[in-house]
Amino acid sequence: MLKFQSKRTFLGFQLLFIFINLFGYKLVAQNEPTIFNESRKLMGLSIHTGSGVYRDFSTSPLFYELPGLGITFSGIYHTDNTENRFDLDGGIYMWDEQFFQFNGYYHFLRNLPVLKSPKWNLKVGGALLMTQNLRINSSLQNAQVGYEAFTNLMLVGKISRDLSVSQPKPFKCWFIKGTKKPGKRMLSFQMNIGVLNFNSRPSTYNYVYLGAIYGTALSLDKLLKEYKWKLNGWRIGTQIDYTWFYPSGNGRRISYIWDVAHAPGSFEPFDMATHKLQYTILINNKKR
Amino acid sequence: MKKIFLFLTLIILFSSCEKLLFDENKASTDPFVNFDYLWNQIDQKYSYFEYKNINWDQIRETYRAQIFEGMSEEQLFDVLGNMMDELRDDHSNLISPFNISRYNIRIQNNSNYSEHVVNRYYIPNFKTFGPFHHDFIDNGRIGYIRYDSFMSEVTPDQMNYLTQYYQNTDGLILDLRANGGGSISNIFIILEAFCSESKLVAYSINRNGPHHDDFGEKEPIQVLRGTGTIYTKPVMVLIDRYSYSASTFFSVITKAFDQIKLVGDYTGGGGGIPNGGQLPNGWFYRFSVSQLLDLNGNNYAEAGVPPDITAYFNWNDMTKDEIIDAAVREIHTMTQKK
Repeated sequence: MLKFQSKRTFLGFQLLFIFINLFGYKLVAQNEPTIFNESRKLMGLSIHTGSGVYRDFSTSPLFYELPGLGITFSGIYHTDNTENRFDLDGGIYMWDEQFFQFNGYYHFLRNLPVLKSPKWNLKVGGALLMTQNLRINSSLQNAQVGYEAFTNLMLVGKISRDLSVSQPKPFKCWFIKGTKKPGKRMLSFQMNIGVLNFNSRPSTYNYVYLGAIYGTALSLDKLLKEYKWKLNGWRIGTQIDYTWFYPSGNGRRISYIWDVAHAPGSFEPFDMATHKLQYTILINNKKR
Repeated sequence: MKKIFLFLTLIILFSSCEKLLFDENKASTDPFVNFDYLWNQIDQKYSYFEYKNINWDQIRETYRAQIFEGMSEEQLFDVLGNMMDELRDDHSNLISPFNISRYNIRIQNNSNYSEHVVNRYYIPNFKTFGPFHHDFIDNGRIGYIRYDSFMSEVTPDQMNYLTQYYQNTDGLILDLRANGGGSISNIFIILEAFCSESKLVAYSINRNGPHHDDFGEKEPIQVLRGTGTIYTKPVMVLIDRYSYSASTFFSVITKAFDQIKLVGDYTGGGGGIPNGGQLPNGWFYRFSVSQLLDLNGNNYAEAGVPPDITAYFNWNDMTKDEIIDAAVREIHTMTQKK
């Protein structure tokens, strides 16, 4: 436990260090209209590719790393001061084993007016993330079907940079030269940290996974009896979004999403992480 | 712009390091690590130490002394496989890419089943339906159904078809000889076809602690009333020492059915549920984590389930099957009593 605490502290300090050193001097006041002041109601349709990593100590001490694909449906509502987002997400990761993950996510963020640059915006708030995993590894025979669920109440921080330009503008970044076309663009970094972390794992000393009880007259009873919710473990997530909007209000977004969780459960722990490279079509759903 | 790229790069690199947050990677090919891992898993979870009077600590001493640095995978496999054989349990297997260890209880006993004799002299024109071979025998008075593996899926519709097809017979013979087991879900689907009222049929107990005698409460096992045509006439289940695992499970449960009798030899045993796992070197294993008890608390994991009517195959006479004949006689006797 001590080891984990120190690692998480290490992570937090590293991110804070990077942030302060790179952008600390940007903290100056402003009230000019920016991309952040615009009210938007968006529907998002996403596809992602990436990898799923898990380790279930009840059946194996080894990590399984599987490539995968998935889709997400999102509803996003921005005002000049708040952001509501709701996601339904499904992913399939497979090689010799199969790992199916389903997520339901909601967050509510509010502006934190500490950044004074017109180009910067900071929001903080809370999120509810619910995840269900279904895993199949036929080599484990009667333990071949694994299932677990997570519910996490999380603190969220999101910092965004307005990259919009109104006139064509040349740029140079190391060896890359080009011209920025006019348009509304935004780069965001979001971090979620679990505050209350619940996980539902088999609660019996000797895990009898679904494969052993599937199809029996007692399967539902056994399932309900053997899975118990526990309040332990941790969960961290980060998301980097690059978003650009068209004059119609529609937009596109490219994201890198990282989610990592540790669930000690009742007896033997479960580790999980996903990496997603996601492409999203944002459809303006606001009546003009 | 440069700073933003730098920031993004650092974030992505940082995000790729979730394993820094987890406990260390346990993957290892070290023979001592793999030996200790397997020994501990069995020690903490295997369900028949007390019942079989196995001194697991002594076994550790014996086999750990055979482990040495630099031993080949084949040598390690032999040591680990031999250690698992000390459990005297065909539910204990070590599975590597190049071999599977097994206790192989069947080769220590005589077989009581000849497919040739059954097919030639009893069901020469047998029908195949799903996982079953079947036909009328005894001049159409009895239905014979052969089910050779519980690995083969059975559906309620298949059972409904069979019970309707044989509804006018005096009795059924269900042949489970040489059936080495498979999915226990098939047990319930078959037995529901003979079950007119839901009933308690057995109990299961599971290891629930690190000590060898740590078990949870008895968990009741039920067979539900069938949803199709229910066959209520006598049913003879043929068994022998090659009937293992799910066949033993099935045989224990039949003791709760008045109309069902076991005919043949003892089953091979193995009523507990084996659960699978993986070693740090990637090999897989399985062993029993529960015990199956009949309604009187009897355990048949090692000795096997005794038949109600004992009969043995006579390998000197390859024109008849003494066990089928004994089952036919019993059906006649039960029919006459009614």
